[in-house]
Amino acid sequence: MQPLPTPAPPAPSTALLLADLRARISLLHRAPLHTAQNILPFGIPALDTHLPNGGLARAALHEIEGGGADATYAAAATGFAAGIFARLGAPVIWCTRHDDIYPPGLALAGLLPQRLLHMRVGSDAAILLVMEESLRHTGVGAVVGEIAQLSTTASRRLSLAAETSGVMAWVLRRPCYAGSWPTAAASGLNARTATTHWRITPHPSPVTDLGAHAVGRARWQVNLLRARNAAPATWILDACDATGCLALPALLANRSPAQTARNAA
Amino acid sequence: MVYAANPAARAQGLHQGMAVSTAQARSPGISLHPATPDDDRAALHRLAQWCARTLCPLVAPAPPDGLLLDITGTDHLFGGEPAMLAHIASRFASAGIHLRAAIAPTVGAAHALARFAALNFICVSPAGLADALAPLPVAALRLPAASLDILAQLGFAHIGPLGQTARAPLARRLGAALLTRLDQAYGRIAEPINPLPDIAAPLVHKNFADPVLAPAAIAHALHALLAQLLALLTAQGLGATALTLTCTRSDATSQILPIGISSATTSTTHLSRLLRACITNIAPEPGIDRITLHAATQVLVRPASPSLLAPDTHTHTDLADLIDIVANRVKNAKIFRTLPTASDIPERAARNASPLARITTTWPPNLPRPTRLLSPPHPIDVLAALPDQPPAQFIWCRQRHRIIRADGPERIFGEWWINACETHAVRDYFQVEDQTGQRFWLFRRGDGTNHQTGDLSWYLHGFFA
Repeated sequence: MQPLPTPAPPAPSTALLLADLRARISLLHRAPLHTAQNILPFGIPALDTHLPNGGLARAALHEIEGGGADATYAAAATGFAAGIFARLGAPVIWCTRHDDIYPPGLALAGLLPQRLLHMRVGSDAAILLVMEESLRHTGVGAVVGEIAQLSTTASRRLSLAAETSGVMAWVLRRPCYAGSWPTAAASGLNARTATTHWRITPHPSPVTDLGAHAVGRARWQVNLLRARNAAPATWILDACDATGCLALPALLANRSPAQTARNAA
Repeated sequence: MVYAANPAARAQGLHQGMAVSTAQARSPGISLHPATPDDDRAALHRLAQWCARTLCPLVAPAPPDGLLLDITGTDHLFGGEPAMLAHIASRFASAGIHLRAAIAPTVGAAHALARFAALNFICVSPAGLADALAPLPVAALRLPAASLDILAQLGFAHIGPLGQTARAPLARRLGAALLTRLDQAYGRIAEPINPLPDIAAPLVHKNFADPVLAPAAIAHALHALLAQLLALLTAQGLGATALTLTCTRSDATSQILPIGISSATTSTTHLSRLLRACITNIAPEPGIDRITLHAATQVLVRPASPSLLAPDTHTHTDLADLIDIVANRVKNAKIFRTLPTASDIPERAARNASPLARITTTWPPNLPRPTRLLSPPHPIDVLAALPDQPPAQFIWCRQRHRIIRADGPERIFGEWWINACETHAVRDYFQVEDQTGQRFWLFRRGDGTNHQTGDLSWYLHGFFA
């Protein structure tokens, strides 16, 4: 004789169910729960709705590289990262072996010199060491390292350190000094554990009110190459303003963003 | 009551113990200050510490106004006793301290000679001790006032006759104390001094019964040593600014490991982390007999409670321990902040400063500046109409960049007050965007009309975000 079926509990709303599932999955991953406190939104709905949890996870490893002709010096990627750090509001450790970073340019994106501490070392291995030590320090907002190539082990270690302390970890990929990216075999080592992987390529900027040949706000092609729990995507965005915020370009060059928003609404 | 009088006042007949009204009546123009015995004692203590660091290690303050230095074995460092006395005299004179000093074989004699000898500075050998003491008044013997009164009634004015008198009657009239003081002055009985604790070098060590090899055992010993050292430091209100770890091995060799610290600290967690990181560098073979931990110190100025600190200083002090860890673990790591500097020359506007530097300024927000700067700037081939037009195209690394948009020039003049060659130098900077949207910072040497200002060569100086 079969037992009587128990009455099913009242179905919770889908949102609650999803939130509960997410919490359980992150427990399985031993990853920190991505609540509103440890998410940094871009403030652009198109990006924030695309990314899981509505923004960039703080306690995670992110990867970024320059695209196109800017791959070598990654100036646009540097500006993109500086804008994110500017909005973090905490000290930033910048680990590098090159000496071409120029803080006055970072300050224009909102990353002021009093929040920036440079650590210059002689090798990629030393950068990884310095990054890991810095990531353990809870007083830090973000740690960024400029590295040519990143093995899976190294990126896993950085991820774990970031998840433990809640400090944002960034790897800025810079090609080797030879001026080229690592060989195909070596790039097979490239990280697969980063939460997001971005490529920032300069994009021709629109004609401004100032004249046909005047330089206005820069424009980037932002590629999300890979993200955990999100599909790859591409956006064309206006570069960081003085507070580190990106913006969606106005649909037409002659219209102000406010007008565009009105039209969209 | 007059507590102390300087030489000028004494020349007018003023002396210690005189009533203030009498002193003012005698010399109306004198300046009076309230006595501060506690401050005097503290100042004497500081002076003793200075002597212990610079003259000889065993120094005892002798309040209210004396210092006792045991110079045994240190006078040869200054070239003998008279030379040392001269050195001390000149150092005190340059500090503006009025000094009388004596070097003598016994504490009692030195005390007496320094205070009652005819000369300000006197150096007495053991052979001349009796002759030097004989003419001094009996007050020089450090006796209570009652004993001095009795001696005066008995007609003893000087030490010489007192030393030649039969001892037993004296002892009966004045007690054994007089004889003790006499014997101490003549060196017939020993008189140890009570020196200040050694303030220069807090040092702890541990000896092992058997040579130690295992890292765990070394870590355990270091932990215990650190606790001892920190107890020493906190008792004196000091913070460690550097640690030196010395491992003496059983083959009589030793390994010295310096550990740098960016700002004085007594934090157990921070220092033990630095020591733990250092263990991997210890080469224990063939076994460590003795571990010594020595701290260079500094008076701890920083308040221990972080709640008292302003938020911006908080981040600085927070990062100090991270800076130490990185500096000690990674050889040749350069850790710095960028200090905004008032200069138009891009290379000079950002100067590297100490990682603990307090930075409050930033660069002007209205000037375009790149995120990556090439140093030195790369020479490029440019097609441009002189003198006013921005470049139309340029070739860099065999790549042709057609310029679609350009802003400029931003004219930057040489700083002749730094470098005379820059007196007439001019750079015209252009912010340009090529056909792909990449943005460059180009400059031309010279203003395009006057050849003195530059040779019209073009350079690529940076990349904009």
